[in-house]
Amino acid sequence: MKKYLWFIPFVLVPLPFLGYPFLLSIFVLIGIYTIAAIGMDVLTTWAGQISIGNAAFFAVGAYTSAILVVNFHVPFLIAFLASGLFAMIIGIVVGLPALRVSGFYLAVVTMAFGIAVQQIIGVFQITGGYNGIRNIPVPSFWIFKASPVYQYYIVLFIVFLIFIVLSRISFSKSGLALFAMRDSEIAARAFGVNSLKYKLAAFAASAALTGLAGSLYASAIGFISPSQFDLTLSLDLLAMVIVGGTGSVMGVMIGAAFFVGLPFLLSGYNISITIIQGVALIVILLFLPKGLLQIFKITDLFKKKVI
Amino acid sequence: MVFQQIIAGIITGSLYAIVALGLVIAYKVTGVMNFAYGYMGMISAYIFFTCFSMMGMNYILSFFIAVTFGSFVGYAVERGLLRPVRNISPASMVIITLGLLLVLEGTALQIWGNNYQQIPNLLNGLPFILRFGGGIIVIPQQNILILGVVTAVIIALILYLNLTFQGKAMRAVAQNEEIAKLMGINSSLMMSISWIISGSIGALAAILVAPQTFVYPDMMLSLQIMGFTAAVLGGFESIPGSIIGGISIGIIENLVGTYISTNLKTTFSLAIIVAILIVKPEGLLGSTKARRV
Repeated sequence: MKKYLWFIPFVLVPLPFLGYPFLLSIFVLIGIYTIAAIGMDVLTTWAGQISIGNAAFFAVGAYTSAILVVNFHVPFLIAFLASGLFAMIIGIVVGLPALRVSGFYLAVVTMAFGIAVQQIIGVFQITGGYNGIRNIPVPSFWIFKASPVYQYYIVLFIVFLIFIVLSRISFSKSGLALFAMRDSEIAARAFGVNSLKYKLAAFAASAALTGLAGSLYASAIGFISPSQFDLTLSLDLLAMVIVGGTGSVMGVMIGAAFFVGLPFLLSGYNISITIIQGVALIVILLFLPKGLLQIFKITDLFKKKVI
Repeated sequence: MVFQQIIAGIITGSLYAIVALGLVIAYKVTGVMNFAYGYMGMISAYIFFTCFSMMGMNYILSFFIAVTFGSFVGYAVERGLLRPVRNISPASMVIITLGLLLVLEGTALQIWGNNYQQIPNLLNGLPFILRFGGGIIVIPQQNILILGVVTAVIIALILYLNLTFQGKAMRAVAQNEEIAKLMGINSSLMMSISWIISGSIGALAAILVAPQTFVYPDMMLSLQIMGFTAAVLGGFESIPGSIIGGISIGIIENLVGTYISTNLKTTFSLAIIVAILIVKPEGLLGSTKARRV
């Protein structure tokens, strides 16, 4: 992403001054899904573990934050951190079976977890059952009033922060150990990598990031119910990573923009969005196996040919 | 009461079992995990609905048209879409078949709309009632039909794979494609046939379940999830495994729904399945393979 860092001060920061509040709210959603999809990316690309149940962490984060803010009037910042922490604890619990199963077996375990969380949320009183929780307030902090502009900057700041932290980790000893474990678990273990620790850490980090995104989502949308956190959301999160480009924050952001933006772009036409989305997924995977980010790297292709 | 639930579980489970069977056959021969499987069957259920309810055709004739259509969909999807991408990563495979799922769902919405369409039961007579000891078991005729068709399909498939030359050739391709090719087996044809079988089984499952679930774009979602779970529980590569997996999931689900909690039926069933997978990570009848470092 370093090459694209100019994007932040010149495009993303001045965006609110253009004065399109609707566009801004779409960008807030893109940012939120970017955070959740980064969580997915950490699990799939960094650690090589497949998950089709990450919507559950999203739901845990959203509900923790919403219950704390609405029922207990906790300040948003604390609710936000608590939702990340709680999702992380759940992530470690879910990560435990993942130490034994892999591949499609892991897909079933995570899918089961996703479906179970959705069903459990629908049964309990404190989560509002199938009706969900309404009127979740938009956070305000100190001199900053609750507004889409403020929300936009919060999300942008958090995405940037996550990017810095992740690029630090990926060059550190732990990051290298994690990549070694992904490429060959047995070889990594032979070199003294504690694969148990790193797998759990990947699940914990993924869950925490997705939980934080869920907390932001609850405050941005203002209404949550179990049906928003179904299997489709888990698959969408995975699709954002694959469609955008694995292993890069920029790619994930493109994937999130693609998924959030497409329905708005097509809302004027009388075509079913699902068909377009499906065709787009298939075409991208067939012709751009490394994701949409490949389009931006066409110049790299020419460079390689010269050598 | 317990027996009643177990019988009901066997009937639901037999549907899970043939969905698992269809997934496993396609996976074993071509190595493609098809997450759009249920939705391919859903299209066939709509074809059946169109032939039977809208055009007023005979039940048996519409049934054959729909199943043939299902086998054609299987052939077209494998040949046209999935053959070039057989060797991509599992995550990419989930996403490409998810793309197919979205296309099928959107197509159904575009053509037939979002309404719940009804298909009548084939057998509408009085249910069978068995009495023994102090207990009583009631089985609707349609469920007998489901059980009969599923058993017939399973037996036919096992006979085909074990006794005919073509079935043996298909198993050879599943075991080792390169060597099968060297022995003169047309592996491309075997892959197409495996998907034709898989597609028609999917269509059959959708038509059998349609009277209970109604016909609508997401009608196969839960059957597909449970079929996939059954395949994994059975070990994913074994045909007896997917049958045992499917039927045991059906029984577990019904017993949990009756005796523990109706609202959390799926949660508890899935928890039991996850527990089984933790104890036996390769599935009930799966085998552990030595892996290259």
